[in-house]
Amino acid sequence: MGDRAIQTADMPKEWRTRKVRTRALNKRLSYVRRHWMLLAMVVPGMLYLFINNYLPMFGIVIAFKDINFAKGIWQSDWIGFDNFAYLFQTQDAWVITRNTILYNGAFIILGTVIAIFVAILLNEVKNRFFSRLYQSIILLPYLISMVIVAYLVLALLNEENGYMNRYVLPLLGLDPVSWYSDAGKWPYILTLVHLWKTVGYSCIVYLAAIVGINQEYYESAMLDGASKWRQIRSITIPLITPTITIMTLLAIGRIFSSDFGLFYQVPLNSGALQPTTDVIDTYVYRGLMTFGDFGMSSAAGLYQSVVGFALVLFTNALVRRKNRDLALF
Amino acid sequence: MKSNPVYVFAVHAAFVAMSIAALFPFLLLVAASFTDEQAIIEHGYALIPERFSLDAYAYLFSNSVMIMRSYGITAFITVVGTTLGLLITTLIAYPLSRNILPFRSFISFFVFFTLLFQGGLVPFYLVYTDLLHMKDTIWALLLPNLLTNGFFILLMRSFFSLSIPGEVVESAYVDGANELTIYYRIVMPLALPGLATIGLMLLISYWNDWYNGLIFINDGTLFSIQNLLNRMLADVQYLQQNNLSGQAAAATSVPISTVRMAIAVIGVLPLIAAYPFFQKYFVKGLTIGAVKG
Amino acid sequence: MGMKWTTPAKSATILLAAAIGLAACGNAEGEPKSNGGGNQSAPNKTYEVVMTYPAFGDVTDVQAVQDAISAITAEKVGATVKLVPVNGSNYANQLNLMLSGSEKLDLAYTSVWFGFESQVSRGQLLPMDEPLAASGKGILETVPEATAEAGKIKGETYGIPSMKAWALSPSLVMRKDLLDKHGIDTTGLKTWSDADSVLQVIKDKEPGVAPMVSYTAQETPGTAMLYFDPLGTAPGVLEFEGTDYAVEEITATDAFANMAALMKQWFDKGYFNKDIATTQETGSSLIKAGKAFSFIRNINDCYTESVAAGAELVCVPLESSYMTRNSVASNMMSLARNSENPEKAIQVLDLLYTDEAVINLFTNGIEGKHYVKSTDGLIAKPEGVERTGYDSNQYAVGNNFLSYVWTGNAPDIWKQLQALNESAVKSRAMGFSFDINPVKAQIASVTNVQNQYDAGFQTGISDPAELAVYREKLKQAGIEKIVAEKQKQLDEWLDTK
Repeated sequence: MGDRAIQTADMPKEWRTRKVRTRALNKRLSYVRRHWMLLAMVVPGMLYLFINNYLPMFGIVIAFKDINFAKGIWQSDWIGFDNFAYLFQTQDAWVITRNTILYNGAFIILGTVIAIFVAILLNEVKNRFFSRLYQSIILLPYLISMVIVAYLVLALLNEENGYMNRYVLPLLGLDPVSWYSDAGKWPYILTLVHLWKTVGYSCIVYLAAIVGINQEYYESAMLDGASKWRQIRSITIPLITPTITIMTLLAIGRIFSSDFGLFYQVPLNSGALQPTTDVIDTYVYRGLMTFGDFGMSSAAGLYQSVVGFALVLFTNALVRRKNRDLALF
Repeated sequence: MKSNPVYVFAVHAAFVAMSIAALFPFLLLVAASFTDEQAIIEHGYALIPERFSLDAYAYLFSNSVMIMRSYGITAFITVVGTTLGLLITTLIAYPLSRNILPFRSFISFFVFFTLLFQGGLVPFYLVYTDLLHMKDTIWALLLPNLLTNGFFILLMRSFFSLSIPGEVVESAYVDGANELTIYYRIVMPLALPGLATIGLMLLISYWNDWYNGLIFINDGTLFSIQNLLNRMLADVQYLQQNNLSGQAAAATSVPISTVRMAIAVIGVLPLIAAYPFFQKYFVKGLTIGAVKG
Repeated sequence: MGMKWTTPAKSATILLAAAIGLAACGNAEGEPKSNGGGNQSAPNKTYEVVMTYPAFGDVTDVQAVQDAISAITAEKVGATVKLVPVNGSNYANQLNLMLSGSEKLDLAYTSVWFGFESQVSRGQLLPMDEPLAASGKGILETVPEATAEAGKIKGETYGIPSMKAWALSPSLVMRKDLLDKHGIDTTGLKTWSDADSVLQVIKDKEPGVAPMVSYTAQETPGTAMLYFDPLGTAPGVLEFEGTDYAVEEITATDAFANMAALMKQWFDKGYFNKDIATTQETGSSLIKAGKAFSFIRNINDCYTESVAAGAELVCVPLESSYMTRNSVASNMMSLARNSENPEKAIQVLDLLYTDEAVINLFTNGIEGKHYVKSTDGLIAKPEGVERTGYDSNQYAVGNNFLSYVWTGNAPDIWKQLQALNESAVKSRAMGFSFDINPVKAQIASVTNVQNQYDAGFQTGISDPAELAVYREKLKQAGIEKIVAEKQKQLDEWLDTK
């Protein structure tokens, strides 16, 4: 078990002599030396992340400052948590937080289940031509930008000449609906649009994991006369669990953030829909649109990150307790 | 082994249903791009154009020199970015999948942390302009998307731990292979489906990227196709809403609703064309025997 | 296992590739500054004034225009210009970024709609009074003093308004062909509610044509009916009539309640499309498609509206034309924080306000290439050329009254607009700017509440009886604090006047 084994073996007690500690250090050094090549391989990526992701993180201080460029970012005045105030001071704070979490929760659960289901199903299509065809077609929605999706949804839901009101509802003997002022329907609409757009993409991940499974497992299962369902339950699902876990953990980390286009463009920024479509990102965007305050926008970002971070640490600890190998770190 | 025909039929039926759901709006989009602008405003979108028209494409290609150059730029950053991105991603993801990697926990955390915490737009911009001086250079389109953040790395790591049996790596190690050789000769071929997945994701993110162009590129000769198309659309849209006397006439003659759809078609076509290339690897994933041979 | 594991050649390839990836970062870091700032190394070279502004349409030929302008400025004030047009839809964002780093920038287009006051309070713009006095004589003479007030913050100038039509006329804009067809006389139209009779005729006799539409989802019929000085972009308005300086909360005014009631009435009578609050088509394009009869909007001049709609329109102003700080300070030029030579920057700006050749190059491009002059002095695109490579960029920058008039406009359009500027009702608070800093958090919350309710009342979808609910939500979001702060600042401003 790698470096951990060295750390724990012969844990030196406080009163032990320096010699022992030096020996442990030497042992560790020689371990690093033995695996230097593996370590060297990670250098480009870490360097990149350092420049692209860690350097800009100095900007987190902006969330606590009253930025004045005449003084410079570092010399600007500290103002504590003032920039965070607007996130909590209205009763909307509760609504947007609730919306954000409920949508993301639904997206994580439904999105994962459906993507895995589709991936397994795709793997069952033995005809290569059809398999590729289906896969390409269901990926299509992912490639279309949200702005265009918003127009397509409008084409379906338009009050006067949308497909729903013109063809579908009359066919079912129902009255036309004012879609863009009926807030109650939008949790379903947005969830559907999200799934429609992303399932083709996220199922690729699971498909790749399934394709990577050693065929011998299935062969021996079939020799034992295991049913399809049984094979899925006892071979496929357990073997792709690492992928499921990681995708879910990463999604949990972003549970306070949301796909801005989905929540802003698709409901056409309609005020009447705000009670069920407003999420943290759209609230922040609208609130700061006119004066573009850096401090307040980075405060919002930091708030989302910290909550996500805490949730991931918590979930990761749970996962780790169950199965060390599945945990993120 | 023979499959139950009812079962096969059910699977296909499910996919036909899904395909219709995915295709219908897309066909609506394509049809709209070939419809006369006034017909759309009057009657809404329709699968069969009320009045057929090529105006939208004529408008877009009235500046075909720029469109072609932008296609070129996008193709370049997509190919180079995807290749480099895959290389760096796998170079870090593979060691992370091995539990003998020194400082593994720290490195995992280092990667993971980037997923959650961002500095925000201003510091990001300052790093690329004031520190790296990449404004209005092709690097600004290429570098920010290379790994974006740790997501692809962590995903790739899970593919590696899933598809690379420890014994194979161990035995190669015993045979005297070094880590780099193992990575190159064993790990990469075995992880082809994972590589294809991440490659496709990188490809899509490079092809569809407009954000970096928007904040870093002012020089029209460096516009990617998405930036160029978005800009053409934004300009007419603005002019139609804020009448400026000199230009109003020119702007209002642009079929904006259909141009919007034509832009989506032009932007997405090359991606669809590239897709089958990746699909090869999803279905096929190499077996261990093939590598050892 | 008959395989040789050591393949140094291949390992080397990978390392090399990785190294290239790194070199990419390394190289660029070491590269000399590629944009801007190239000039200070050569002291005897003329100073390059970098100017950024939002551009719409095709500006492929900007280099040629820049060279032509530089030739004049180099001779007259010993400076060249570098034009940095930025896509208009992204301008606000891009400007804030450019003003936050060490990028070389001298002149920047600013606007109250793009957070001008915030840019000043963040120290991103330089005070201009001193360099103006030294080298901006032409500007000071051209921009009327009362108007120049709009660019001031706490008595100091931070922006120079561009010379254009500042007066706005809240108008009912209608299709002439339908008015004629049904013999409707518009001379009797005096108030908004008078429009009822006209709209009813269209409703009855023109099925398939919406009597009234929103101009855009933001410019709903009700917006232009609220006849106040908004005193910036934050809540709290001032009436044009009267002499007092009482800041009001707009939803508490009679005007708002009356507007909401009228809109409700019109909505119920079926004058509006049902999607009036979320429409994605502009009023112009709906009129062009024959689906709409009218809209209500604050307009500059009727001709431009007609061109946009592709139909002859009749515009009936139903309130007096007005001029507020917002309408003036929506297009300004400011001195950027990083300017190394404010003197030269102002000298170049001065030419944009006084030199006919310079401003015409900037707004219309190069004669013969981007436009041609006809015998009557008006200009037009060269015969048969659809894309000239430099689309006219009017209104945003400099003294537009010095630029040539495009064919189709009245030849004396600039005179007309100037006269309108003169005669317009001017807000008593022209020089007042609201510092939002003490109430930023409240503004963010209130903006969200407004977005939720405003459109409903301004399009008659919401019942005026629900106004109380709206006002309660505004109160919870802190609107009273904003209005009180605005009143306080306005009073302070009055004291200094």
